Amino acid sequence: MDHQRAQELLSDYLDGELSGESAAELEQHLEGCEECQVEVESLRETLSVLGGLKPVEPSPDFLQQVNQKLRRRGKSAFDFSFGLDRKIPFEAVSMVLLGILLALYLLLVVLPKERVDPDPPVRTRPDAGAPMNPGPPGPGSRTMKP
Amino acid sequence: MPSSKDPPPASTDKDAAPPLGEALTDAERAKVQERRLVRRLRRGDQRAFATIVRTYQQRVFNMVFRFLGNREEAEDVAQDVFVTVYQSAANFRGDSKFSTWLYRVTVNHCKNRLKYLKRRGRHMGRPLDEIAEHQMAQGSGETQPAFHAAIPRPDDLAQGRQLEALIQREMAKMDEDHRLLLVLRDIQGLSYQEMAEVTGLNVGTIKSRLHRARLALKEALARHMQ
Repeated sequence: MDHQRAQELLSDYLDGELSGESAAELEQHLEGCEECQVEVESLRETLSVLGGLKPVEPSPDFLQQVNQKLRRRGKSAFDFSFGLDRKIPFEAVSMVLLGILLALYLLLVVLPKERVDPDPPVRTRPDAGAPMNPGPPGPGSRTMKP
Repeated sequence: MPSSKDPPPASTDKDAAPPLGEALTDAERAKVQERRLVRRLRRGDQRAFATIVRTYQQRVFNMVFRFLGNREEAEDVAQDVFVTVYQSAANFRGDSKFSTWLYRVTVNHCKNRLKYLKRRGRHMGRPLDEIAEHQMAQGSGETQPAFHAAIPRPDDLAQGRQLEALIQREMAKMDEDHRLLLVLRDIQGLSYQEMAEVTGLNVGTIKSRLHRARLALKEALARHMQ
């Protein structure tokens, strides 16, 4: 194994990712290459330092903070699962509610108006040919007073 | 070295412990428990959510802290991760391990926060002494034996803390992708396969980038050690 290739494989070697054959070839190279020996040892040291870092703990009230965030964002107050296995997306619930509101509007506002104000009756009197809107009454015309 | 840091998810709820046959191994039992826990989470079960937070909070927080290098930001981002988990649990199809999905969510949050901080020109890491002080205050100032081996005077805790802060500072200078791989592999102990699922990179790319990241950190530490 040449020097360049050996250098590239040092991480894999330390991770135990090399096949038996490749590992043996690398070890053979290491025996005769002082530079690679130094390199592999300092890499091992670096990994040891990283692996030895003690885990950093979150604050003791971490769960409470998460729950507060959920409440602030208004999601935890609404559970759209309806007992189903999956939660129903907020957007889907909104669309259904909008549809219901639209249907109610049509039923309660638009349709009743149409029933109350049907089309004006067709005139059948003899003067039906007179203009429907004769315009403002003239000075001599009689007007009904309320 | 990797994967040994991930204990099976503990369940504190009485109905989270299924009446399993004795034939199941610990790993299989943990997997079944995790699946049940996630199913309850998808129904919006608050207790299941609390169990998940308690089980994973340390791993998520540690990962975010090592990636961002700032405790306050790490707290905030780690909380956001669990908020997303609660709100997006329905998106978890169970194709991968729950922890893998959780790490993916965590990585996305970390990257987004970094972008946000960069836009505002805020420095990522805190000064060396501040981190060291904090570690001491948190009671995590003690170092592992392997940690001691890297410094000239193994009995000097202050030097160990400074070395830890130095690592954090040098990692903060690294390319974001390199730092992420160091955190996932050498600190969090993920396998290469898990790393591929979390990052979306193929294993070959991960290995070559990780090698470069390790070399860069080694060189940086060596400069300070001399």
